[in-house]
Amino acid sequence: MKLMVNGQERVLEGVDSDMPLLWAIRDLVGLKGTKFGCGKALCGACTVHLDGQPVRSCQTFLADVGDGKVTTIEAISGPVAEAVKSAWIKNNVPQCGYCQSGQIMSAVALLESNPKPSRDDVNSAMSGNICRCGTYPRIRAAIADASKHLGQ
Amino acid sequence: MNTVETSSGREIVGGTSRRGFLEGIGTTAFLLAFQLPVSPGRAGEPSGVSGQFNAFLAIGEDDVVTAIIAQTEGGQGNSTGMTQVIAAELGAAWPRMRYRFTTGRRPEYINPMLYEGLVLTAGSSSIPGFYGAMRRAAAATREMLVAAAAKQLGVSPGDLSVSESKVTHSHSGRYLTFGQLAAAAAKEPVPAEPRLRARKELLLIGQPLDRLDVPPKVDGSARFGLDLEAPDMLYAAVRHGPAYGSTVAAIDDAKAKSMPGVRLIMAVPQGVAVVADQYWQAVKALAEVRETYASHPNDNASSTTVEVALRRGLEQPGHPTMGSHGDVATAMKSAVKVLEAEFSMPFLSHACMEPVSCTARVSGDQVELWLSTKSPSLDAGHAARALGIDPSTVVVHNEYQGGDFGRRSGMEHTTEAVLLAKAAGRPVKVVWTREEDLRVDQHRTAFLGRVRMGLGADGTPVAYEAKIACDGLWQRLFPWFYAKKKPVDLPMFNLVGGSYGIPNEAGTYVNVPLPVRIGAFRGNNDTHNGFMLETMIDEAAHIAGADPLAYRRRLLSKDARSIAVLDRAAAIAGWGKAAPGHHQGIAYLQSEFYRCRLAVIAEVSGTADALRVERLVGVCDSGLAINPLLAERAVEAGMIFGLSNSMSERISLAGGAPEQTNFDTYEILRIDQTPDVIVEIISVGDEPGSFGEVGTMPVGTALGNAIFSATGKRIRTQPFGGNGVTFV
Ligand code: FES
Ligand code: FES
Repeated sequence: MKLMVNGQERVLEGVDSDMPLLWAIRDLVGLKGTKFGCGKALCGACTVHLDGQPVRSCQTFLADVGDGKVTTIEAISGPVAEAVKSAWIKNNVPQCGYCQSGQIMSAVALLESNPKPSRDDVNSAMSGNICRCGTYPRIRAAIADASKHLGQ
Repeated sequence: MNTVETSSGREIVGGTSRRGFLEGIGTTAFLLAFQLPVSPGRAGEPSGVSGQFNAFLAIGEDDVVTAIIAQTEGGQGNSTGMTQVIAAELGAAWPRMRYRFTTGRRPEYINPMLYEGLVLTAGSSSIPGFYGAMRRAAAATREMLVAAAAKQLGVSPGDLSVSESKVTHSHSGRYLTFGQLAAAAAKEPVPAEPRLRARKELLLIGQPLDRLDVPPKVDGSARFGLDLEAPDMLYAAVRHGPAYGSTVAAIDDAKAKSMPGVRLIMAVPQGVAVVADQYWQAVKALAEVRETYASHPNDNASSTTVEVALRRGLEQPGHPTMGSHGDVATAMKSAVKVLEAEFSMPFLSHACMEPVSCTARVSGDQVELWLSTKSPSLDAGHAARALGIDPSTVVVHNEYQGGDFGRRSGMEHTTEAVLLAKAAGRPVKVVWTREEDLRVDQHRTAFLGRVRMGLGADGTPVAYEAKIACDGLWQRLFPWFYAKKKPVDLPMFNLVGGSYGIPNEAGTYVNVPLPVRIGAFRGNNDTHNGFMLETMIDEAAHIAGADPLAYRRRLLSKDARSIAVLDRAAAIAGWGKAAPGHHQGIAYLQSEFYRCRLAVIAEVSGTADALRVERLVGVCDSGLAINPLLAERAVEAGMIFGLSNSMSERISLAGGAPEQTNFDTYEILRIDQTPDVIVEIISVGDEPGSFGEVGTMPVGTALGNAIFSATGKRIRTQPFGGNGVTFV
């Protein structure tokens, strides 16, 4: 089975097509930045982009991916991603950091489609991403910063 | 250990404070249980750094100073703060500082504020616990650098100064860098009593420096326990029995054992595990395993039986707690009014975003563990006990942890990993699903408390009586330690005898063994004991017709630091001037152990059917803030954690088992219900206190008091959501 991850084609041996993309990325491709949090599309820790759209990789199965292009935190790039990552750094967003790959993947997707989100837009786009450490106010501030930066 | 004691010393145990109490503990009892937990690991222990001067730092020829951190990073930023302390005392340039974690179990890494004998990160004590030791180590290194520089420059050590990673001759301006001096300095004798810098020389202390761990947490490169791998490893999926303590009676693996990739199916102490080439194969095969469990007394446990047990507990005599003083019975008789109330809280799960996992390699007498742990001592002990070996032979690997909140030591998962690795003959990574992680937690104890508060003619409290029934953390997590301290256990601390100076107080603790595993939980005793006291104080203020803030100010008027945090919080929150339809509530926390005074104001709007938390304000004085940015964020994060706990979290039991198994039923605060949070840190004095969990303690109470202002309902059962209000 083939998988396009971060611009590279990977051949996966001995996998079932019902394997969640999450485990293929982590255990077979070996990219550990995408996190396991709940396995049920309830927390957002596993968020990656599939053809530019955010998906929960724990509930996206290899059969669904087909020849779609998967992008993970390790390779997310472009002006929006750079703005988001620098806003995350400038705002010292993370506490434990475990949820942050997923938060960043969701935030990039939000700003790609809505460069000037309102507070409600941010709350609704990000409400699928749990942060047990409670960095939510910092996430809101960082998204606002990134949005401002992109508008300049 | 810095030995400076602050404040009133009211938390008294046989004449010592909890701080002093925990310091003075011998290691013997621990040794009985775990044998040599702090003996150094064997060859392969990842503790050596080249250019290492002592337990806490190394200097490279490239001028890079590496702080060696044995405390684990659960997210509060202690790795940055500890690095900052070393840089400040040494005189290093901040951009040349790095840090690395060690899991070495050297005596220097035993946290002097906690249960002696353990390398353990707990109690928000990384910085207060190691401040003195880190500074002494850095000062000794600085003097060795100076001695080496004096020889090389042919000048007197007294004419040299150390800053920006250089040793400079003041008169001539000649200097040598740390990197140039490191090799020679390492050969200098280690000064026994190095001079510590004066506060004004510690230029990096008090600076809001950026966290060092942010870049790897933003680009996905930070490694958590679940990301660590052993060469050639297999994966295990585990399912535990319904009740705590369940053991497997029989396993039907007829279908599962022939599934692709499956290597091993076996019982583990509380359940069954499948080991396979891939984790997904293990998960799928486990779904086809059918096992039965032997009957267990906990099978019939439910939230009802827990409540009955706690209620029965309150009828027991129990044990008087520290801080009891005066004559409560007489004072109650003389009181103009006596308030009575009952408070309760459910079990909670930590729900760290990183589910529990452990990877183990067991090969002959070589045992290695890879996991997120708060204590390599405890996890080496669990592994050793499961295998019947000497814990000093167990090597532990740990980097970042995806949250801790009191969770990260792993009797079950560490035990499972080593037993499975041994049986499989290959390294095994055990990964718990979120369902197992929530169900088989070391839960926060459920709690029931009954209090009476007698008010005098002027409306202030003349007597306070508090009796609580719950399970005990020391008893359950550190039985060897509890054996020496019995009946004293953590729930007793700060039950009575607090900062309000109530003239007569009586606290009673009844230990009720509960049918789930109990562990440490961010906030611990201060959350439930503070919930009772601060709610009663609020109620007393209302009965006295006083403003709750003014009432607290009056009771705390002798302590300028308390007044300062209260007044500053009131100013930021606009206390008494809330917008129309908005309502405020306040709570105060004072703790000698954490060196903390913290005022929290919660603001809500709406009605009981649709209540919105609009804003939280926290003002915290925990002594010296090494890094005000870290402190502010830790308090903010702690407040949000406590807000989540008190709004919506509960673990209920049925058939012995927790009913909440994932984030659909275990409801954690999400961004859309998160209010704005404003935190201000007031840095005071020269001794650092704690910031990591103090925010959690009073926030639920402030919310409860705000709910009362908004709705007139006094809700004494947490979480508030589902117990009288609905949040939007
Ligand atoms: S792990 Fe995929 S949403 Fe939680
Ligand atoms: S930073 Fe820890 S879960 Fe978000």
